[in-house]
Amino acid sequence: MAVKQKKYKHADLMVEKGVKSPCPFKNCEERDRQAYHFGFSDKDDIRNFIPGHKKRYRINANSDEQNCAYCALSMFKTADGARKKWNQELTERTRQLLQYTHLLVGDIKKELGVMSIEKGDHFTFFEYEGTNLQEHFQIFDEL
Amino acid sequence: MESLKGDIIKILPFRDLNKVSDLIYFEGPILSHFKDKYEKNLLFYWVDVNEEYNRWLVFQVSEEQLYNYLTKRVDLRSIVERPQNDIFYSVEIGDTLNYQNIHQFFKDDLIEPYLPEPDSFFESDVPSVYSRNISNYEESYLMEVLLDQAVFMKAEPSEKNKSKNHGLVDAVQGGNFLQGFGKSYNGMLAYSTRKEFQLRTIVDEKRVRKAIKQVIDSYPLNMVKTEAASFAVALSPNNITVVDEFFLNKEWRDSVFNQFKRDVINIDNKTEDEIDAIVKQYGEDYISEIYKPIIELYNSRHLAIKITDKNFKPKRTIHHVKPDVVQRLVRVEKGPAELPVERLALVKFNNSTGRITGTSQATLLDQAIQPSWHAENEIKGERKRYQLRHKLFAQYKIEDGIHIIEHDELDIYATGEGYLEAESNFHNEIADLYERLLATDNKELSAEDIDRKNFLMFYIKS
Repeated sequence: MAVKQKKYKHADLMVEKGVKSPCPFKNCEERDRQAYHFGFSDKDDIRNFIPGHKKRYRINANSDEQNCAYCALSMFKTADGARKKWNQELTERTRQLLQYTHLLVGDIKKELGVMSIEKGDHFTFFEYEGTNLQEHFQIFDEL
Repeated sequence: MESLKGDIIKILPFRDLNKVSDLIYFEGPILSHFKDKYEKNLLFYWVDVNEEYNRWLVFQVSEEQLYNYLTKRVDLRSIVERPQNDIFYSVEIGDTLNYQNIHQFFKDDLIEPYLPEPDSFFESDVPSVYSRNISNYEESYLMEVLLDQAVFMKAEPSEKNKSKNHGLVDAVQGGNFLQGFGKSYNGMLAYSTRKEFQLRTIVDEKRVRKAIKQVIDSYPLNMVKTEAASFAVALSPNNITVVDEFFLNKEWRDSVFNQFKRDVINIDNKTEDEIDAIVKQYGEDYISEIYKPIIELYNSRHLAIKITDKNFKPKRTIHHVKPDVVQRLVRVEKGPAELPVERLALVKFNNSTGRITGTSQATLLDQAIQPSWHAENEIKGERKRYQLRHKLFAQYKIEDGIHIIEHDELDIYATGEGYLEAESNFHNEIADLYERLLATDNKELSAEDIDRKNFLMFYIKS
């Protein structure tokens, strides 16, 4: 019997944005891992866990891979990595525009989706349909 | 969204924009690099948003600005403050990705909220598309920096040797020229390293010596430009290697080189007060090491040296360093390092009066700064020690690695493989001479020997 392929939560967005396959990328895997994410307090704020492409329309992405990534969620492996991104890589103006106020922490489980396997502190997380990350994350600290 | 000054225009005045890369991105691009049909470099910087549109600040940058930003030499703010042509554009982009509400305004009209903060350096990974260009750029940038801070000089045969050499500098003189600067600069590096440790109250001598060695190995003077058919060179300190001690960094090295240019290369051009300050600053431990090689070069009879501009056009002629300045800057190399400058000269003994009649400073200085030697209290012969009434001075020099102490009046020439051996031989020669002359009646001595005998009797007490 054929294995039923899992559907991604933002599959429609991928289509809408013209993302070509493969999306998620080839190097994505299901893994258990602690993850940090920029968001708002409280954790159930509707603005939390929204992919970049859903939040605002910007000029076309750099590459098809990035176009794909903007249909998923940006996550960090460590709090320090997240803070470095927020405080050092982004300008003050960008922080104002992004508006995030808090760092959220949670445990990602294999059954929630796939993550990109990357060297640095950042990774991209593609949720499966039905995943609700609010249930798995908490407020960690203010940004 | 913020209100903008400037004029509304219909289209962005750039043709066929193509994205090269996003430089900063998070959940979408934040700072993106585009090129137009004519290879103009444009940055799009996300500066504002409302429910429908994102506003981008668009400005042209030079390739140099772009690479300086990617290599963290300048921050985003300084690029935004200096757009090419002093013009900004802003565009608003909605979900259809069409450009609308396009503004054009001069840089003075850029509103404060859109200006990145100071220290907004590029902290992301450099996109791979720039890797090759960055390494090319680094090389040309490195050379540019080296040339920017280099000293440009030209050496020619002195007037006397010009016709003989057809205006060309022979290889040995050319070699001496480079060696002179190299040695002086190494002396300056050693002095500056030790001083830096003193300022930081680090007294670990082993660590200091290691750092001095590393600095001399890592920051040598390089020839960064030469000119064919003449001896013209640009010298600049090495810009690549790093040393272990964090404070002996690029900024430190640059300041040492600037100090070298100011205090050493221009030594022929200093006022009396400036010389006083130099003597005070460099002290006795390093002053000879720093100044002797360069003064020998400047006072050479073979070369005329000029400071030039970047195209080797003469700007200033280097003059011979005056004898009184030489005397203050060049001291005894070893052993008698504490010798006061005014006593460097050779003493002359007047046979008829039996007195020291004066000094022959000029002779000493004419001989291109020979360091001196003196015996303080006694002459140590192999069999006996002789107490001195006065300090006994002689010339000390090193030729082809052989240490030589000689005394013209006494006609003594002692050599050794090291300073101590030469000194010991010199003591023995004097002792032997004294014993022989003392044991011989004046009637049996030549006039020169009688002079030498009187000289020694004047100096030796017992």
